[in-house]
Amino acid sequence: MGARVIVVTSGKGGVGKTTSTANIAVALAKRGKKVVAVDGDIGLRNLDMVMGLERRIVYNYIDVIEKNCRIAQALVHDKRLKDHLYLLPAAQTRTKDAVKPEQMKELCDQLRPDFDFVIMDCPAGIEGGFRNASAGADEALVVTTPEIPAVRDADRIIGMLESMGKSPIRLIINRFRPVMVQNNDMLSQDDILDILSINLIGVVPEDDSVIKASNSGEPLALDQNTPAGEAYSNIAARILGEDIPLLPLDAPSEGIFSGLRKMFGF
Amino acid sequence: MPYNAGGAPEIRLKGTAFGLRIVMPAGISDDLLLEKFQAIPDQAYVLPVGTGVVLDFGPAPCSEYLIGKILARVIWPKELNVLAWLTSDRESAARLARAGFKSKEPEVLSASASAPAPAGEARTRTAILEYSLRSGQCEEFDGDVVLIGHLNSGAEILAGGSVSILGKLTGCVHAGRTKLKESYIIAGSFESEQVRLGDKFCVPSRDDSKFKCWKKPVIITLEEGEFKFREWNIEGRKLKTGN
Ligand SMILES: Nc1ncnc2c1ncn2[C@@H]1O[C@H](COP(=O)(O)OP(=O)(O)OP(=O)(O)O)[C@@H](O)[C@H]1O
Ligand SMILES: [Mg+2]
Repeated sequence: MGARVIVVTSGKGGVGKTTSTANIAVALAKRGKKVVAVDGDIGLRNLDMVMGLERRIVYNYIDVIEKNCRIAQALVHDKRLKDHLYLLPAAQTRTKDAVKPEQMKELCDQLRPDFDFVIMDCPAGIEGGFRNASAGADEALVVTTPEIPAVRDADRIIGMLESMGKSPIRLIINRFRPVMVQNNDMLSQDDILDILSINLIGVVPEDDSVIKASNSGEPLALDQNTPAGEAYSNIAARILGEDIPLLPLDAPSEGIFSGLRKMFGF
Repeated sequence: MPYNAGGAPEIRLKGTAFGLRIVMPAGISDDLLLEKFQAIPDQAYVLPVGTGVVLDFGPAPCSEYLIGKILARVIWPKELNVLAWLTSDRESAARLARAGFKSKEPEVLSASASAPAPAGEARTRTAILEYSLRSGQCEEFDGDVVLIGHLNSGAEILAGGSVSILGKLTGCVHAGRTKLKESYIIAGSFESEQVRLGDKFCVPSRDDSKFKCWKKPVIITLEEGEFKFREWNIEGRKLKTGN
């Protein structure tokens, strides 16, 4: 049996896949699970930086596939969450063609016995990079922002994930701004779910601390005192099957935002 | 198809007089093709008695591996009746012929000789699809199509006859490709940028004062060469009864 392998994907670029992968991996590790985050974005790797582990990389999984090293040598241990969180980095100097889907599947299968979760960060697009990253996954998380082009790309990706037999496929709405929805300037949660007809696993608000966190390499979910960090922590809990209600998001005015946030549960 | 640009080409389903024609895309790996083939929902194979499927590989070669896997993973488990394996790749055609597979285009309606069709005209069949089509998915039929689901933005239905979409129409419909005169499009909610009937297309105005049917249930027909949108809503209406 072993790990659940979950791919984090989107179709459209820049909607928050890497941010989501890092924070969900951290949040699951904080809940006592043994987690490895795998950077599926060969050639444009970011996950190491968002997790603050880039200087500790020696080998990557292309080295593992090409038998230059063992998998244990390529895993980077995150000491902030001792024995619970690892990163398996991609090669920055190679391209998506460096591996085949079967090899990625085999890599995931090698990780399964030693972990509870394998969280795979997927590159944007619907070509080889997406196929490689999703080949070994059982489940998928699809990230979208509340914009029509992102939602349409998510729809396309969901169709492809369905035809690959991934299940469950669940949705994360990222960079949500309740005030804009209230002014009819942004798609609402209902609009998006109506189009995509899949289950929602969480809504992550637009939050400046995400940018600060990416720059400092300290994922928000390490401590929960930010709206986005808390949202990711809730997503992790739902992945573990906890029943945390998803309440409709209203638009609190800026000042009382943090107080109301608790009530709305994101 | 424009919406497939950049993506791996998809398998196309075409309803025909003899059943279902499954047109395989060229230039994709055997495993990807198998994956796509296995993903075709069972409802697609609900066919009238006496009909079957034709596997059309076009110019693409059909390897021993692929033939074996198609039989084991799709044809036998789904109990399909294969009328022909078509390929213009010589080596593949020879391989199929040696195995005793039918490799000729089936003659229209010879399969259902017991129920003769109106002279000179293949009986039209209605394809009933009980799922939503997502962005990038495209289905093509010679006859009429009823979609019990939504046609999402970026998805397409191409039909020889009429198309009825019980859910939302946000994607692209091209109806009446062969039977223009009698064809129509019905949608549960019209939210599409463009519709096509026969060789005509229409880009409805987004200006509310000019186009009143946005997000409304509609019937679309061609009358004297012009697109005609009629809103329909039977809720709360006193319906006349035929005498
Ligand atoms: N909830 C949020 N609030 C504010 N900024 C965010 C949020 N989520 C992501 N961002 C910012 O958006 C940018 C893109 O995020 P990220 O790199 O995670 O996206 P991606 O989907 O992995 O992109 P790519 O397709 O290039 O791999 C980053 O600068 C990130 O800091
Ligand atoms: Mg990324």
